[in-house]
Amino acid sequence: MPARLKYLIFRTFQALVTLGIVILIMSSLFNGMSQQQLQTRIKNTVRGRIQNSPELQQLSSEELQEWRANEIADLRQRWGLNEPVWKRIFTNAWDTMRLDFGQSFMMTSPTGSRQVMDIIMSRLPRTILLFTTAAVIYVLLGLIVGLKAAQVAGGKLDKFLSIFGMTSSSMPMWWLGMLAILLFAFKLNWFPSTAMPFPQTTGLDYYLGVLYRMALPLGTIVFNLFGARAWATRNIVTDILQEDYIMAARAKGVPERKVIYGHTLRSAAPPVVTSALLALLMSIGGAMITEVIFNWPGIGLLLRIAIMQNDVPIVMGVMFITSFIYIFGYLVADLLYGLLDPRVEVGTSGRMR
Amino acid sequence: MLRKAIRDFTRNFVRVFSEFRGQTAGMVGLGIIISMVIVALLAPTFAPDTNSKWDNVNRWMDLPNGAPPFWVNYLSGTEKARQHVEESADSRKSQSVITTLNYNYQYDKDLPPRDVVLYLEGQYEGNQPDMIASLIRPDGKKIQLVNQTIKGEKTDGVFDFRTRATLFGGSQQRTKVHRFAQEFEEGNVPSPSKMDITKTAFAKAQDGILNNAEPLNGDYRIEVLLVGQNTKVESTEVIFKGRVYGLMGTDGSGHDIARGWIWGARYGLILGLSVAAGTVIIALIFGMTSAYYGGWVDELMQRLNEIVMGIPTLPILVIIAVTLGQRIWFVIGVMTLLYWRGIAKTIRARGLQIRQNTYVEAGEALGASGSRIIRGHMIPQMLPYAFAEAALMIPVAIIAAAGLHVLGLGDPNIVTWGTMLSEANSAGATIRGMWWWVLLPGLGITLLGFGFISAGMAVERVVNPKMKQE
Repeated sequence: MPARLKYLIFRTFQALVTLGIVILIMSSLFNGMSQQQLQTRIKNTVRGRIQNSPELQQLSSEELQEWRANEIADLRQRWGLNEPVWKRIFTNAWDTMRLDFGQSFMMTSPTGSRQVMDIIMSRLPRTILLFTTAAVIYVLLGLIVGLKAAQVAGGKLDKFLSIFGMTSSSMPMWWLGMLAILLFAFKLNWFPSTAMPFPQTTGLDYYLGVLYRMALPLGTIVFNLFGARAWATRNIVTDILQEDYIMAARAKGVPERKVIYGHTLRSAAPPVVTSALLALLMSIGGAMITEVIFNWPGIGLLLRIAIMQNDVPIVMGVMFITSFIYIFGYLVADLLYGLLDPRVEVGTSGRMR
Repeated sequence: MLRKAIRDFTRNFVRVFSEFRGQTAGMVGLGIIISMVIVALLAPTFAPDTNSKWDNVNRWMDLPNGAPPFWVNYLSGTEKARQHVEESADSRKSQSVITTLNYNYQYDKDLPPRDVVLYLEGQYEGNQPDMIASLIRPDGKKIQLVNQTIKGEKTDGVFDFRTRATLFGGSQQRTKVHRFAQEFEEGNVPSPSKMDITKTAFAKAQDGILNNAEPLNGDYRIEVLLVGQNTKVESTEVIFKGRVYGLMGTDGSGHDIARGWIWGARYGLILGLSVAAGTVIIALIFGMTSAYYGGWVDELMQRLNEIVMGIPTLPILVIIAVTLGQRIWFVIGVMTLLYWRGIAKTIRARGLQIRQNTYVEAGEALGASGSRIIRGHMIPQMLPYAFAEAALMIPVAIIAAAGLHVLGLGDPNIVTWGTMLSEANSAGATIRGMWWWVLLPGLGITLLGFGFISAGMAVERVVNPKMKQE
């Protein structure tokens, strides 16, 4: 078996183990809580039935006691409370793996479904839209600026970038979002402070409307992340520029443009791409909170609403989807590194932090 | 043994620090961290009754709501009145039943105080006394604002009272000031609810007093009459609520942002440093063991590290907060159990290099045990690396913890920068233009993060010769 395929299988297996561990942690925590919730629900259900049934109220207190005990036992059986804890945890984990998070306590999807998965899926595209658009912009911008800075190491742009990269990565993304609203929505009134409601029109108008609402969150994410990205690119590229074969190419008289965009970029691609992907994964959390600030109707805002309403199935669902994206994004970054760089047999995990 | 380890460590530390001192950015970072630590240590002195009483409305009711910091006076053309407390009143007893208290206030700004709060504490015998409070203006005009009866609690035959009155707070006062101003206004008369009550009360008595008030500067007097037999005032205070307040202003519910900020620094450091200490310890033990033993132990530990590496932090934090509760110690615990992974990688890689050194081999040949070599030789050398990486991680931890507050999952028992920012977000501080409420707590996060990042990078440059070349 070729080493690369072996590595692919091994890393996929490893990612599955990680996912399994995360699911188990989530299910065990969820179990303790859902147990309490189910118990209160059983109590309320039984009380409700007694209140709504004149026949039951006719019964003597002993008969009623007995009926109540039976009813509770029946509900406990039906809702699986009699199962041992480990079995309940595994059932729950299995449901999670099948993407079955049950029903939301209060929310519905636009189509009227109460299934957690439907609700999440109705919101996920908007998160992906915002996040990937931002990612494309800031990765490209980071690449261009980073290359420029590396060309004149120690120059003005280089110095500025090192400070800007350091400062911007010590700022919470969502805080920058709040400042952006203060400046561009409150003070200058250029953009709306809230993304909702979404435009009701169709065609070009719709897209322009979405873009208008997306401008601030998009700008916030790009501003927050591109500095560190450019700085990372710059470091990778300056390392490569010191390699012997670059020196040789320069000595041979290869034009500088060709040295930078041909030789250097080719060797810089694997670490640049993977580190960009990893940075992207690291920023998922911040981007979700940024959605809250801008009222952007994605899964971040959904999470916040679910937390406010104590809608635990939704919280579980959103967090599982996030973990899933994170773990497999990490896997892809790792595999991509090996794929892009012919010299590397093992992935990034050996060398990236 | 231990003494040698300490000596190794000290020597190493001195070497690293003497090079570190040459790094400007690193020294700036260190300066920021040290100042923050001092502020954080003194938090209970600088800002008492803040963390424990954040949600206690009474604690903050004498502060103005949503007042910007005092230094906006220097940025904009209009000067706004600052918070002022007047404790001395010249008190005199005219006749036997009336006590008169006078409080002076010099008004020389463009905008008057938001409100005036009067505290009276004392005793009376027999009937409940009446209190009449009025504002006497420099032009001699007098607006009667409060007329109420004081109630006390009976102890040993006398009644103790402690009364609080807001002179411009209620709708009655609004009507009174409106009635006073009405006769001067020649333009249209807005309804009392639309009037800026103190701006009118402290304005020139002329046309425009209601629509476009011009401040009447000069010496004002708050006159308080207590009418009742055997009434004695023991302590008294008048608070002029500022239009601007303190170094950092107040938030929408009157919290002093500067006081909250100090506690934010404290909890930011508690969180960051606890996580850093915990992760460094785990990473050192893990990375060193892995590097020292090598072979299948190393293999197994590295695979384990990779698995932990893949676990996302935010979901675990959110789920723990939702199911087990919102405590800062849970956050610290989760972060400690997850964030060691990156540091352990570096430690292991450097550990493999150190292992090649002859003195480690010599130690082995002399029969030193594995743990002894790890503790005595390898760990002292690794500490600077570990500290550098941990320093770079602290901002990540602080930002993530603050983010939890915005999601509604912050520890409700403590005041952090995240608490203040999430309150600002829920109260719509951004769309109300209350920039100080948003800007200053976030600057705290940024400043502390910047301090740790620049200090960490400087240490990294010192200990990592490859980076030094660049």
